[in-house]
Amino acid sequence: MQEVIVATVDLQDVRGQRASFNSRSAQAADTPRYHRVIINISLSHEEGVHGVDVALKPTAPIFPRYHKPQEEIALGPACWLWDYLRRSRAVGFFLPLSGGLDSCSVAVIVFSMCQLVVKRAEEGDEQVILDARRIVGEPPQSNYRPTDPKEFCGSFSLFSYSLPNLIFPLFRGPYSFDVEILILIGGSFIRHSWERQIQAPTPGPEPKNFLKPSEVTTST
Amino acid sequence: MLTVQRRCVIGDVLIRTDDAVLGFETCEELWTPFPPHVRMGLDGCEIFTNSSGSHHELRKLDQRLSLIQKATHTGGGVYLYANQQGCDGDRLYYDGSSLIASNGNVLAQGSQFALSEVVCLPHPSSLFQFPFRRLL
Repeated sequence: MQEVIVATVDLQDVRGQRASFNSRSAQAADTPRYHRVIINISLSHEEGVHGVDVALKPTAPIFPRYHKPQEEIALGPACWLWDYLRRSRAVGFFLPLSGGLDSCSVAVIVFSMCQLVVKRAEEGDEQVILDARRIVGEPPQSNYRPTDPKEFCGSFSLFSYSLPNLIFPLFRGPYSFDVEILILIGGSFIRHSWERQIQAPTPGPEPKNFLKPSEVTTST
Repeated sequence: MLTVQRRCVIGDVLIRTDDAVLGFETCEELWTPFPPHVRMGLDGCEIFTNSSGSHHELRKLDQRLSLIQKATHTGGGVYLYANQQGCDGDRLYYDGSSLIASNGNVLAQGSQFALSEVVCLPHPSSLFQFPFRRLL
């Protein structure tokens, strides 16, 4: 699926603006000339050259669209994650959830990605649907389509480990599991730093501060 | 042999067709103190293209747009800006927002964040239906 942007412009508007701008003309007279390559083709609308197409009008100016900063944060990294996931042909993310703000932010961005994937699949983007099938382990000819961001989020291999009471219900998929990090790694250095984190006198932000899925903006 | 052409010019040139003059600047040239479109525009170039690989930074689109609008506002002209979109295997996200501007006005703007694979084909059509040149 391709995105194409089109506008109709009247080059006479350009010539008119320049011809009526005397200071510009004075500078133009002193400007070194570029070499001209002459090509005998016409760029303009054929009707415009050989006849008068009354229906063709210059495109009206628009107000440029800017996303809010929050939208940029939710959407930019989410699009990056999707491209990285599908083009690396990986089967999912390993997302260590410490319960702190950093891993929480990553989790929210992953969920934002899932919302974008579902939206794009609903719009019929075949490439997105095919990539989603591969990532959740379905064959290309399967009927699977991601329809629910939560379901999709839980259906690719998103492993998480977490401390008790800091579990993200969002990522409770068939592949998520809770595991004692001390058992998983077992190294004394890791164990030492992990214990220091657990016993830190000032704990990180409470889970109640986390964005709910409905608060993630997806307008494009 | 596709054409009978045996020689070509290497370097910065303007292309003169039957009905317009085209010039090309690339990516970061737009951001330089003396961007090529200034001299090209003074030399009569009417349509500028920019094939760009500009990556996402928070609130950067505003700077990009103001540069493009200024490029065609002070000297007149049509600016066709095409930008990569997506992750190219490194840590950057290229945030599209391809656009078409004319005489300082934005006429069309592509998406900034999208999952679709993108091909941008800005297609300008000029109208030569006005019998007299309109001066301001």
